[in-house]
Amino acid sequence: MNDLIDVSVWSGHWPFRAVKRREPKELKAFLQGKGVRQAWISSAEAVLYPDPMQGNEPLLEAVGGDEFFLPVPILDVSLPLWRKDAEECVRRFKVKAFKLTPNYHQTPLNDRKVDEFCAFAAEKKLAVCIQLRMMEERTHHPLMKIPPVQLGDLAKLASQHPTVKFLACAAFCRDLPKLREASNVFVEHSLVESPFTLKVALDAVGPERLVFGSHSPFIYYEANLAKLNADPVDVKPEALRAIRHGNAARILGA
Amino acid sequence: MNAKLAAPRNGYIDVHTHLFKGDLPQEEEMDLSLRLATAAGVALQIELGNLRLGTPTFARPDPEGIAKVNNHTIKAVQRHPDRFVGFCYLNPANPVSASLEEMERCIVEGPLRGLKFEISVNATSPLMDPIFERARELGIPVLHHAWYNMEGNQEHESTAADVAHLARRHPEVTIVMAHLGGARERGVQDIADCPNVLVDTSGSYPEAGHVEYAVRRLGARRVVYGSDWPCRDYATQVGRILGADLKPEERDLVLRGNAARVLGLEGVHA
Repeated sequence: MNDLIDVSVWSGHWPFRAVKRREPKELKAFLQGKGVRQAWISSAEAVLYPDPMQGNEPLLEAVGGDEFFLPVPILDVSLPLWRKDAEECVRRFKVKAFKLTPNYHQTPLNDRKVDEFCAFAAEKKLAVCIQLRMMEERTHHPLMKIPPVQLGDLAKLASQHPTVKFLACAAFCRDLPKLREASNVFVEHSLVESPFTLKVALDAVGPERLVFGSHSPFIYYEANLAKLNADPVDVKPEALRAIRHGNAARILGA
Repeated sequence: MNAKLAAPRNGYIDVHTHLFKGDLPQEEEMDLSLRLATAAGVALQIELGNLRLGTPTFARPDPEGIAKVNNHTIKAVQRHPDRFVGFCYLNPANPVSASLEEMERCIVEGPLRGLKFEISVNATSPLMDPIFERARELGIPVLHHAWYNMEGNQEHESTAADVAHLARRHPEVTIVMAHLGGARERGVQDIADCPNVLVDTSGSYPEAGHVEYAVRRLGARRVVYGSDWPCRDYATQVGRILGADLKPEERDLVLRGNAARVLGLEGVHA
C-alpha cells in the first residue's frame, strides 16, 4: 500500500536541466509506482516567469480535483498583487501551502514583504515552504548563479511567526544544526546526504520535523528512497513512519 | 606485483571511496564503511586514501604526507583484502624520484593496485608524464579527480578537458575520471574521443539524467559506479544508477562489470 507523502515535486520546464516526467499526469503514474500516495507539487516555470501565476495557473487547472496532488503555488511577494493572487488560490483551488523562492525573487527573508506574507499565512492557517535552492551552487549556469537561502535566516523568520509551519526545501546536511531550535520549521531530505543520512538528520532536527521530499524530477527517485532504508539500529520504525507521512500531515495541521 | 583478485560473486563494485571521516579510529571507520556498503549492495570498493593525512586541504602533501596516506590505505587492504582494493595516492609536484619510489613500495612490493590523483598538479602538467609512463609499464589504472565548479576550481584542480589532455598523452593507461556529477555534460563531451577514459558517477547530488547522458555519449562500458563515501552515502549513490533509465545489461556494466574489467578481476568477462 502506498504510504509516502512526497512534499516537494515539480512540474514543467526548468531551463537548466533536460529531465523526464515533467507533466503532472506522467509524474503521478511514476510516483505512484514508487509508493507515493500524495505529492506536493509546484511549477518550476513559476520560479522564473515574471509573474509566477503564469506558471501556477496551468498547474492548478491541471491538478485541480485530483487528490493525489497537493498544489503548492509559487509566490513572488515583491509583486504588488501577491495577496490578491494568494487569496484567489485559497478560494478557488483550496490551496493549503505556498512556496517562496526568495533568492530567485530577490526577497530576502528579512524583507518586510516576506513578513507580511507570513502574517497572511498565519491568518489563513497556511503552510509556508521555503525553497532554499533549486540546484547545487557548483552546478549552476555560469551566467546565472543564485546563492542559496541561509537556514539561519529561516530560523529567525520562523521565530517571528511561531504559529506558522514552515518547510525548508532542498537543505544541505551541513546546515541542519541551524534549525535545531526552530521548532516550527520542518525539513525535507531531498538534498540531505551524509554517510548515514537519516540518522544525522534526525540528530539535528529530531524525529518530528523531518519529512520525505524528493525534489523530483531533478533527482533520481531511488536515491531518495534509499535514504529510507536506514538500519533500524540508527532509525526507529516509528521515526521512519513519521518521515514517510506522519510529519507531512502535521505540517497541514492533521 | 600483486596476483589477480577474484571478482566477488555478487554485489556492486564502488570505484570511489575514502576512509577519512576523521571522527572515528580507523578500525571503527572500516567497520562502519563496510556495514553501510554491505547494506547498499556493495561487495568491493576501491579505497583512495585518507587524503587528509597528507594535508588538511588535499593540496600538496610532501613525500612523508603521501606515505602516511598510503600506509593508512595499505592497512585497510591488509585488514580486509576481500573488500578493499587500495590505490596509491601521489603528489606529482614532489620530486619524480619520490613518486616512483612510492609506486615501487606500495604497488610493486606492496598490495596497492592503482594510482589516485587529486588536486596537487593539473592533469595537463608534464610532471604527470613520468608517473604515467611507469603506470603504463605496470599496467595499472589511474583514478583522477575532475570538476567544472561554477564557484571556481581550486588552484591546480583539473577539469575534464585537462584529464582528456592527459589521456591523449598516455593512451595506453586506463583512467577513471572522477565525478560525473561535477564534470556533467561538458565533461562527458570532453572525454568522448578518449577511449582510455571512463567516468565515475560520483560528484554532487544524484541529479537525474546524468547517467543516461553519459551512457548515451560514451557507451555503457565507459561509465562506472562510484560513491565518494563518506562525502556521500553508498545507498543514495547506488540509487543514482538504479534510478537511471538503463537497460539491465548497461546497469550491470556500470555497477560491476566495468570496474571488474578495469581492475582485471578474475572470472569477469565484461
